[in-house]
Amino acid sequence: MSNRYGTEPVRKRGQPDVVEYIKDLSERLRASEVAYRIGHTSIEDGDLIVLNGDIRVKESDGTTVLVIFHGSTPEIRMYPLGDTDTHQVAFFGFDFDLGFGPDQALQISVEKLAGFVEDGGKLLLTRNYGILSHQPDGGQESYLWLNADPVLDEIMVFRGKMRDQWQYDTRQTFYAGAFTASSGFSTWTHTYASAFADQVVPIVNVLHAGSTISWTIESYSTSAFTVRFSSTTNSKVITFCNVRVS
Amino acid sequence: MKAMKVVSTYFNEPSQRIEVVREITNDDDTIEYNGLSFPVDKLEWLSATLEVDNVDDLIDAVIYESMIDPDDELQDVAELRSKRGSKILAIKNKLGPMRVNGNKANIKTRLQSVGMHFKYIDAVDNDPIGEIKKHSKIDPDRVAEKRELIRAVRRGEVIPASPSGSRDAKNLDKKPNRPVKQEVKLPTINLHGRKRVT
Repeated sequence: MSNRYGTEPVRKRGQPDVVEYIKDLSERLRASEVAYRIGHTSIEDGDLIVLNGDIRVKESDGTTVLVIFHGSTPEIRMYPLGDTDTHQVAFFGFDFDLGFGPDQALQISVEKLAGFVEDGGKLLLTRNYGILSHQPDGGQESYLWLNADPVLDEIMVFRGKMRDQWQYDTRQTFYAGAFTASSGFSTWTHTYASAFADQVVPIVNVLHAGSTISWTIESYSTSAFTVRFSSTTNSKVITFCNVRVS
Repeated sequence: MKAMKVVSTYFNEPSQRIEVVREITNDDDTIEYNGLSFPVDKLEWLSATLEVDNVDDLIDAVIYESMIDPDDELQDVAELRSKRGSKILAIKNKLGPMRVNGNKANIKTRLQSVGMHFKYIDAVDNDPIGEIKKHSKIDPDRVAEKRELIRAVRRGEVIPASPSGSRDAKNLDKKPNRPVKQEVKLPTINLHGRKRVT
């Protein structure tokens, strides 16, 4: 009769088979050891649990920080603030079929625990395109979408906007906006909050109602640009989208 | 350019920028007007970058900045201050005092003659330098924060507020404190027809 480990130790009256006994003992130990190691073991001061094909990693205080889920949507979820927090980091692969055949996809996103509602940064990589996005719950999504057209290669779509005349960093790529230069000025100098790290090329347009005037960018540097007008009459609207170059 | 005077300052509240009317006397003695626009926190940034606290020196720096060759602002601060100071002094000596000594009515008349917008003409009645100080609202705490930020950039450190700086900023070598576990509730949702596990 087999025991629970599938072994059949030979027992003889008064004289057990030592070889079989050792073999049986060895298998018992091996089975026990493997079960212990995979099923519930210590990782430094944390805890690793295998349950129903999923792997759960906990801190020593019982806080779940990482779960790996099995299944056709394989997923890793991380809880940097613990699994009682409002949000989680999800990292999962799935079939993102949009009607062009199976589309293997990987998504990394910050989302609410409740309802898996995306609420934060997102990276979505599929066989057909890639998206770097921020999708706040209840707010507008901003993204960079690479290869956005299903029938035309290399199409990129940007969604979002630039803040008017606002410098976040001396190394930001674009600096855009619009302002009015009132009548009476021959030149107008627009100064940045802080000098840019590299040369900034002003791409400027001047709107002047009523009559044709000539204008030019008289000077520009890392800290400002100056526009000269041929006429001081009427106000002008200066629109610009300056680019930092090297 | 033979001379430059600051004749009027207007605070553009919607854009939070200060607009200064500079009266330029050209080499052929013709007079023209330049509008100089800068954000309200410009003096704070200059104070942090140059490590200068004297407001009059900062106003010199912003008024003449567009008239001098730019410097690498991330170089050694003492060297930067020295270079910038020399350039500003040179341009000041060339163009004369920026303040106008004289009848403000004459200034208004000159501004009216070129069709200047009334908001800049009305503002002539105020001290243009005083208006820059008033609207710049230099806050020592904010300057200190900006100064620390620029010092960190000069040292080549990763800036905590930057998208790439989060790991350093949180000092993740240290174990973060986490709330004590209470209850695990992991909801389900249909994701594009595929059910994610709970």
